[in-house]
Amino acid sequence: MSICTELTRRDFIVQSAAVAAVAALSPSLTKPAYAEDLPDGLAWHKAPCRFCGTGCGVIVGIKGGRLVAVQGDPQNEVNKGLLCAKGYYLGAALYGRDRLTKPMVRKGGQLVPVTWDQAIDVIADKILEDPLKFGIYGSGQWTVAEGYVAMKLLKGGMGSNHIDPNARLCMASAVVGMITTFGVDEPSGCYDDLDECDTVITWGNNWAEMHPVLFSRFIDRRNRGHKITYIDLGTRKTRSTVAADHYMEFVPQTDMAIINCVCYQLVKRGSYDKKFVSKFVRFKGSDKKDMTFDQYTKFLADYTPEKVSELSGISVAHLHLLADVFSDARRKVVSLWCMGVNQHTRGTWVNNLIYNLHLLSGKFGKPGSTPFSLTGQPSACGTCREVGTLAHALPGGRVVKSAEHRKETEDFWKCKPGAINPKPGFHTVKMFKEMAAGNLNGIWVQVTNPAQSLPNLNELMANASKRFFVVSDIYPTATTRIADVVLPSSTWVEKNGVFGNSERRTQQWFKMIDAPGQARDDVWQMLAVARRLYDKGFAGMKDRNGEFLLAIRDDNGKEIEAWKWDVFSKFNVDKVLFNEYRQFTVKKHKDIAPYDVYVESHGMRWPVVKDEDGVWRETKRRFVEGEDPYVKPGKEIQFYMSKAKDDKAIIWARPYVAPPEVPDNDYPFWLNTGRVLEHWHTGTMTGRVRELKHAMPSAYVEVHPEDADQMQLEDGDRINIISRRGSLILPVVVRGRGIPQKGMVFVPFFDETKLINRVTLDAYCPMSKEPDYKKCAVRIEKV
Amino acid sequence: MRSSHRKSLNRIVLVALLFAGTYPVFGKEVAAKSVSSRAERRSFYTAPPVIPHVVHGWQTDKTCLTCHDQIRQWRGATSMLTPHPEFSNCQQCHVQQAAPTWQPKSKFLGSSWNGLAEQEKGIRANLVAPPTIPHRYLMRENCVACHLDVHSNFPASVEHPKRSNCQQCHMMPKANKFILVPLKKATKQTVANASSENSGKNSGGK
Repeated sequence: MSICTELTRRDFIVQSAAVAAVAALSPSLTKPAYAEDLPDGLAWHKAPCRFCGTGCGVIVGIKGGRLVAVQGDPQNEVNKGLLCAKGYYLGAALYGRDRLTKPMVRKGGQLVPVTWDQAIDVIADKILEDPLKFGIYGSGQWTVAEGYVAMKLLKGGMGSNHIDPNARLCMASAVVGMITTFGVDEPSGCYDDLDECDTVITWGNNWAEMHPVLFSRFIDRRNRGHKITYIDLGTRKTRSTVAADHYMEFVPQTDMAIINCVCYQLVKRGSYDKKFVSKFVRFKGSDKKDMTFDQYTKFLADYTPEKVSELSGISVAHLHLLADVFSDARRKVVSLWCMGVNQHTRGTWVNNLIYNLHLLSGKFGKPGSTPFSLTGQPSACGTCREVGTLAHALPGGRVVKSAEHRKETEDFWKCKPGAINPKPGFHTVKMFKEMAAGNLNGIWVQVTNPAQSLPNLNELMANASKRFFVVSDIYPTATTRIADVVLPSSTWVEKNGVFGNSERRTQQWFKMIDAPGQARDDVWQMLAVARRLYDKGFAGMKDRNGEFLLAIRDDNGKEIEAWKWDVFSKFNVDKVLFNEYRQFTVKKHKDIAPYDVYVESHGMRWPVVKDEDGVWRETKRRFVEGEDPYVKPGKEIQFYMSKAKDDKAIIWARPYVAPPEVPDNDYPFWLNTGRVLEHWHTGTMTGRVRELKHAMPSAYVEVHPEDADQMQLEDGDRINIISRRGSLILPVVVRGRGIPQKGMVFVPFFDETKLINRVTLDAYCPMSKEPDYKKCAVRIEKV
Repeated sequence: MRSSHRKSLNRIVLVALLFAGTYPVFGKEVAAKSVSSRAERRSFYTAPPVIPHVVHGWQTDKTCLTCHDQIRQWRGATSMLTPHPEFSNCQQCHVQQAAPTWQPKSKFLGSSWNGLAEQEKGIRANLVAPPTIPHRYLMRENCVACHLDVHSNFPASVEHPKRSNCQQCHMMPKANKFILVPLKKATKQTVANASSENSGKNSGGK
């Protein structure tokens, strides 16, 4: 086909004349008129993605006051220009037709629109009934400032510690795992290790769907010719499994025994890293007593490959292969895990065990060798873990139990001495149980949807419609439906914000568009309620000088009336709060730089410390000499936050413990739950994106082919999934995008019309209080 | 300087007029057809195209490449060749728009999303100049994946497919406006955090 023929004589004359005319007019116009051919008024701004903990950089196209396009940011080291489907559709996620645009209060059973002033008043009055019985349930999707304001309001002003985030359901085990092993939270390695490693091991992790950009960072390397071995340990075959060189399927919960078995072999072979162990590690039993290496060896004696093979279902050959990988001193191994390990009734211990393996083999702190805990939410690290929006915590790695930490915090906040309650508040599961029982008067929920995402919903959300819930969100959700006050929020680039991702990278963005209708920032909502409490004479909202506790001051120290929306919206309150929060970060060497440094960067990994030449320098690998400014020269590796102050990490003897509920004659199947690539958590935002909704319209239950044969089930047949707590009917898929092991079914939780969490178990890790969504016992019946 | 520039340009125009008929210059219809077919599968300009067919069940990373590793024509349909075979987690970015029949549909609540429109076509400095590349280039380095005449909807069918060093002649017009945003430009803020009395010094925000 010749395109030339498409050129008509008229086109030709028009084009020739145009060229001639332009040439005659001005030489400058004869240059390709690039700018003129680009859409008018289009501007691009940087932001981090709003979805998962990977923290990809995006550039956001704005035109005519609307968001019109999202691209991966090639200048951002996290994703180097690549995104996943959720990220590309970030813009569309803001434009669902049913965005919440008016504050509403329930009257006579109905949610009716009210003014902001009225809504704020209702909340303030409810809090004043008993400030000690009013909780805040937040999110790993809170910006740093949002979490910080909530903490100051509740812990600094209201006198209780009943604040917890949905990150409790997600990262709590990772937090306690790191604190117990290293004495301080958050990963020591970084994503660069994926570019350097020669072996990747995933522990119950489907990163092809959950952290797709990182998965591609590895798989693209391999497709370009790098030799990387990928070992996938899991209980369900996933899209990640198809890329694996070795897939090792284990009986749920036996990950604990498997890791101990690899350690057993390293010790037995004498192939552990003796120098690393003698210099940087000490041993402890689960009774917290010190152990000698010999005692630890004795502890491991139970975990021979033969025994563990029988327990776990992994072949002895595969257990040997794992030991080979960790025995080879030249190999560079990255371990990755996320919800499979964290949402586990022994989540903290499994986190410890993975560290054991890397410490014992010395696969730590070297480029390409690191145990790397992946984070679920965009600021689970930045907000929940660093600001510390947890029932027991204070900002910057402090805890309410410590008098010293309380005093420091009170001084920073200028609270009256003793304002901070030393008693930890209710963690998530407890908070909702206490609410169901009527022991809390109210909960303010921001940026999360507990009526869909909590486990064992029938119990945890019992009586919810009779209780007082304030819900700040951008769309109607299962939680707004039971709320008494619904506040329309602005989201992502409708406000200023800062997130902190999985690899300690702090990323900043500016507001780019206005939120629809009367939707307003979550930070403002908290400030407005705080001010109303102050105006109503509540003593907790006054600092030690009698001034407003949550005062926002401009660069000249002058207080502004930030509780008024027209003042707030013209001022960068985020910057003020971030710079105030900064002073908390130094104590545990999680130093962050001033706000303006992040404005000019694509994010920086803390500790960010100012060099002698005045440049703010980030840290790729913590505890490593030459990389981490807090490691003293000559130390090589220094775990400088160790509790015993001996600069050593701890290898914990953590035994295998059976799960609390296992399949039996009445409930013979395991139920596993999780996410899908297309939807973010409960689908509130991604369900409003046409392309994503079409791609993944509704929930289903994956059944193993042999189980399906036995029960004569085919794709589309409906089965009832019944546990001791609830039931749910879903269509079957036999060879879908995942294949659970024989005797297990898998259900994604994104579908708000199919609440699988009515079936799940609320048993949790005794240390991290994180519930186990990955295993409970169910029976299935064909409908 | 100016007049000599003009002279040489006039000369170029003359040459252009002489040779114009022999160069491929696309008509408006082809361009419009191309733009609409591109837009049909993209939520906005620069979005990855959606998958227009059902993707069944269990996949391996080679499943998509079974068809999309080269251009194949089958029962009247033509498979696109992937321009980036090294990115093999295809459904990370490309999502199907027809779920399998066993999966119940669910109601889409509607959206007022109105994405950036497709860019129409490249620009020619003059009639005989090779057109510029009108789209984002990242991950589409293999130009002939699209620009072959089997894809009748693309204006693309290059007349010289053997000249594979496309960017030797076809430039990226300020492409950088679509790809690389200078950070300082990308981080503008309009408000300043200083009270009026002293706004001269210590003005906050960038």
